[in-house]
This record gives sequence, C-alpha cells and structure tokens, in this order.
Amino acid sequence: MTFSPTNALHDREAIRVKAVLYDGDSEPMTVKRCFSVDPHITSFSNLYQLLKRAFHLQGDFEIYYQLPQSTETGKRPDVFLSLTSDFDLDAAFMSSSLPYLSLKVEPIISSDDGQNDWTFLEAIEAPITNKVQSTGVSSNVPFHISLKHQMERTLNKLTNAFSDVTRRGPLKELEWQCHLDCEGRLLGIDELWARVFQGGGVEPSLRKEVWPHLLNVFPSDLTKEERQRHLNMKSEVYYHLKSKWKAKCPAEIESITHLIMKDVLRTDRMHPYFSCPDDHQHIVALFNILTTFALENPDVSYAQGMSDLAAPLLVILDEESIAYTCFCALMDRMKGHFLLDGKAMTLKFDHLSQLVHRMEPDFFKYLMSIEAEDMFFCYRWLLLNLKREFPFDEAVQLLEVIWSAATCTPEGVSKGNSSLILIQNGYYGNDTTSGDDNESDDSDQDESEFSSLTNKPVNQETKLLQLPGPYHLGDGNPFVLFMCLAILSIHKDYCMQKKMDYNTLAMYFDKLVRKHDLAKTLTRARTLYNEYLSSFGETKSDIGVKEESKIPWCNRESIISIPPKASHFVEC
Amino acid sequence: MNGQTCKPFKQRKSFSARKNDSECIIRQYPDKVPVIVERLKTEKHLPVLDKIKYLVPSDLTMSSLSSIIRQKHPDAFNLIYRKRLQLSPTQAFFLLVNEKNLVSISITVGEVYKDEKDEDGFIYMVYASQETFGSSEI
Repeated sequence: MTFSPTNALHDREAIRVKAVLYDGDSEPMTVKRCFSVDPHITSFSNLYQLLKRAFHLQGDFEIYYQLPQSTETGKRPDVFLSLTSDFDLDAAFMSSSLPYLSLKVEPIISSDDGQNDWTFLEAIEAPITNKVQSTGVSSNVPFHISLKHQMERTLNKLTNAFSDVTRRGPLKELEWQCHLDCEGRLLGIDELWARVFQGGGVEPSLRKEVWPHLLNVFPSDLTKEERQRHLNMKSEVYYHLKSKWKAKCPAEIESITHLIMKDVLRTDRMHPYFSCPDDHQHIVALFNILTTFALENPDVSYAQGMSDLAAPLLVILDEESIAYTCFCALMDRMKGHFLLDGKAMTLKFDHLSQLVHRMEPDFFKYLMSIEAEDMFFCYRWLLLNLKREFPFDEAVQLLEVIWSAATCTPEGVSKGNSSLILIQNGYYGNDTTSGDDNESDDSDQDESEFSSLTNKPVNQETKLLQLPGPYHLGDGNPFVLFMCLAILSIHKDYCMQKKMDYNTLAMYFDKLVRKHDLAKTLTRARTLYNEYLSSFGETKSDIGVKEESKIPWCNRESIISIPPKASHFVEC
Repeated sequence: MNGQTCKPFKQRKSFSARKNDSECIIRQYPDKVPVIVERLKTEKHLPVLDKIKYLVPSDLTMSSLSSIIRQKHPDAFNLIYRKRLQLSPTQAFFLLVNEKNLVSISITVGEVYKDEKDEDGFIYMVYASQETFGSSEI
C-alpha cells in the first residue's frame, strides 16, 4: 500500500465514496451509489449500515475496496481488498480514498445445497377462503362463431341500439304503490328488483323510499310504520356510535380521519349538493358517515373509493343516519373490494377476463397481444360499480340497476332476486311477473329477439355455460361485469383500430371518466347479459347447479380439506 | 426492496445448477412443487420478499398460495406499505405465472406446474399490484 503525504486523514473532513454492487457473478451490476463520509466518525459498522440501506440489501454482504492509482500507469488497478473491520476501513481511508474511495459490495448468496433456503408452505397457512367456482381460462381455444350466428348478433345489436334503453321506464309512483299492500308491506321484493332492473332505475322522487329496499336494509314483511321504527332504531344506534368517537381525543383517530377528510373534500364537489364550503354540513355528514363506519369496522376500516360510494347515498337520502344505514348495507356487499387480501377483486378480474374471452373473443385476442387480458385496467370500474364512469345523475341510476341485479348477498342468495325471475321466465322478453305492461309493442319486439337468440348454434351455448353461473359470476352481481363488458365492446373497435398498447388503452379509458353514455352502455350490457342468461336459463340441469350454489359460502371447508399428510410441516 | 439490486433467480444460477437443484428437491419431496416467487420487475409498490423459493403441496389452490404468500409479510404489506406510501388497502395482489399469465385461482399448484413449469424444473411466479385507481378529482 502506498501512503501519500497529502492523504493524511486529519486534514480531510469528508471522503467521497463510490460503491458498486456486484452480484456474485462476473458480470457487474450497474447499480452504483455515491456518497460522502466523514472519516473521523465513520466506523465499519456505520459504513456497513449505510451500504445496506443504500442498496436495500437484506442479507449479509461483503465489502471490498479498490487499490489507489498506481504511480506508473496512472490507473487504478482492478484489485480489491477485503474490508471487514474498523482497522481495514482506516487503512482504506488512508491509502485508497483519493480521488475517491471505490467500494465493491457483494451480497453473500447462500450455498448451493438447495436445501436450506427452501420455505415450506402448508395448506393450513391459508386463510379460509370462499368456495369459488371458477372454470379457468383455457386460452388458445379458438372461438368459432358461425356466420349465421354472427349475423344474428349484429342484427340484435342493431335492433337494441334503436330500441329505447328503458324499455318500461323507471319505476313510477303509481307502480310503486302497487308493490305495497294496504299496510305498506312490500309484496315481493323479487318483483320490485326485477322491475327496477328492467326499467333502468327509479323515478327520482321515489329514490328515498325505494333505495333501502334495493340494499336489503329492512327485514321482510315490515309495514310502513314498522319500517319507520326500524330506521329510527338504526338512527339511534348511529348517533350513539358517532358520539362515541366524537368523544375520543382527536389525535387518537387522526390518522384515519385525516385520510377520510382528504378524500371527502374531493368527492363529487361538482355536484350541487357538495358544491359548498368545506365546513358545510353536507361535507361534514359525509365525513361522519365514513369515519363512523371505519371505526366501527376496523377489519374494513377506510379505503379510497368508499367516499364515492357513500356520496350518492347521502345526496339521495339526504339524512346522515339513514345514509349510514344504507352505506353499511352496501358495504356488506362490497367490503370485499376494500379488504387487503384483494380476493374479491382478483375474482372479479378473473371473471371479467373469462367473460371477455367468451363473449368478445376478437377483442380478447387483442388484449392478449398487449398483455392486458388481466383486465387490471378496469380496476376502478369494478371497485366502484362504475360509479365514476358516468355523470353523477346517470351513475345514480346505474347504481339502482346494479343493486337490483344482485344475485347473491353476503347472507346467501339475495332476498330480492331479479335475475332469478329473469332466468325463470326466460329473461324479460317473456316477463309477465310484474305490474301492468303498457308497452306491449316493445315486449313483442323483445320476444322475437329472444327467440332468435335461442336458436343460436350449440357451440356458443356451451361456451357460455363454461362461465361461472349467475350466482357466482362477479361474486354475486354479474351485471356489473356485463356493464364493463359493454363499455369494452363499445370501444373495442376504436382501440383495436388505433392499435393502442397497454398504457394507451388504460389512459384512453381514464380520460372517459364520467363521460360514458349510460343509455347506450346499458342497452349493450342487457343484450350481452341476455345472451349469457339464456344459456343458463334454458338448461334444466342448471336448476341443480343453482340449488347447490344457493349458499355459496357453505362449502368453505371443502376447499381446504387437504390430506392430513400434506398439511404437516416438513422440518427442515 | 432489493428487487432492483438482486438479480432474478434464473440469472443467479446456471441452468444445470438449477436443474440439479429442482431434481434433487423433487426426489426428496415428490408431493411438493418447487415454486420460485419473485417480484415483477416493474412492480413499484409491493416490497420484495426475502424468501423466493417455496415448496408447495401440489394440491394447494392458486388462491391459497396467493394468500399465503401475501401473508408472509404482513408488516410489509400492511403497515409500512400503507403508511409510508399513503396507499389505500384496496391495492390488489396478484400472482402471475411466468410473468404474464393470471391463472384461474381455483386450480391447484400441481396443475399449474404441469402446464407452465420451466425447463429447469421450477415453476416461476411473480407478484404484482396494480395501481390504476388514481384520485382524479379536483
């Protein structure tokens, strides 16, 4: 080692260090870090920690330093000395820190016996999962559609595009009265749901009264008076819960309230209801609802997006406590979206992917080519039931349709089950179950449409039958997926023609936030949903499937019944 | 987070060493599948796992595997990750086979292995999140 007189440590306050990470192999990695250290206070362990942080290393590693320039060649020789102690470090500082200290960092890679570094996973480690019926995307299967079928489809799409989306219009006051008996009991929640689903929503004046029914807030068979008492009771509970956290020290819950406030302040502020100062009671009410829910449900807590779901409830119901009650009911259905495990979302991505595969095969092929068949770019759609994709007023209408389309709620098969009726009656073309039918022309047209659908080639039917059944698809609300599918189907030609790559595609749909056309999308979604339901509605054997799947969560044991042998830990 | 700094498993060992490795472990545990789980190269939100080699019962479903893996680092996935990056817990966690296939979550690891295993005898999976849920308001 050469000691140069100018290199005396005491007159240097900082030494520049250039460190390079090597990875065991001969080929050097390009990861470099440059920093300075004070030689007087930097110990070996300081340096070690510094490097560990600089390279985000987790395991052990070794440090080497490069010898200084040789006086003959003027170059630094490619010779590295091991640096393992404070003594080595002093030597390095003294001998080799001009113009900078060059370090090499080599992670120690565990030996090659291939045994010690194995982690044994066991089935019992898995959390209890819902029984999921899934058929797996058997890709590479060409999707043949006969010419005849294709023409039929085109024809269907054409007729649908021209027909009015709300075949019967939203539920009207008079009709609503028909759904109630003399004491105000709801006569059949199934019929109500089917009517709302078909009509594409509820008259705005009725929303306040009908929404709780769409969200399964009430136990069945309550008179109007009893329902009011039920709501009053729920309200009292809410005010109690609210006062509980209001009494807490603000600092205690600050982390969560801060998060909620941030989102509340930018949720639907364009809407007249929320276009008010930040401390307006409407904003505060939304904040209170979300905070109460988050603190009362620590397993779900608060997550971005919930404010989007709560805002329409508050706007329509216009009463904090009732909005809270409905929000809880809604979260019963949707909390899976916001759980950390991501299972609900994974399932929906999977189902949407299968759906696109079966129903829009050409588009699916394109998605595969840009590696977007995972459908991740539809995240927000699925997370928020497409609430952000449409203008507020249309989104509210869509929410009604989606809520009334649920086939399963967390308690099992949904109490109001429009799809059941649709299936039983062969979808709404033959619908005779509810209300007065004053638009017979339209339904005639529907019937002819459906009969043409039922004559489809068999292979298409079986393709669709490979999809999860209506009780499983979309985790109990298949229609949301069909709305997504409809949006994709409307925009697919443009996307494919422009040959968008993954990012462009995602950005394209991002730019369409609140700009989609509900009437058009809803029409397309219904057409596609019909097609799907028809393949399930026809086969009698399907009834058996439905019976079995009535309680979709009852089989949770079966999925983790791993043979005892496998579930023992293997000692290693 | 040494994902940027640590080479993928495949580049750390030669093919023959890996082949040897997998054959050896499969001989010892015939009912298990050797799975390599790494972070997707482009993944920015999820931290790196400190273990990448897993022996998995072949009858485990992909959904169970996925939930076990993400449980391996509850701290990393929940606390640090949420606090520091201020991300919502809505972030999903996905296991992709061979960096691209999102396989059905109900099929077993054994089946996936049969179809997708690498020539070296391992099956490679990467995990990823997806953050498309931006705050576009105001």
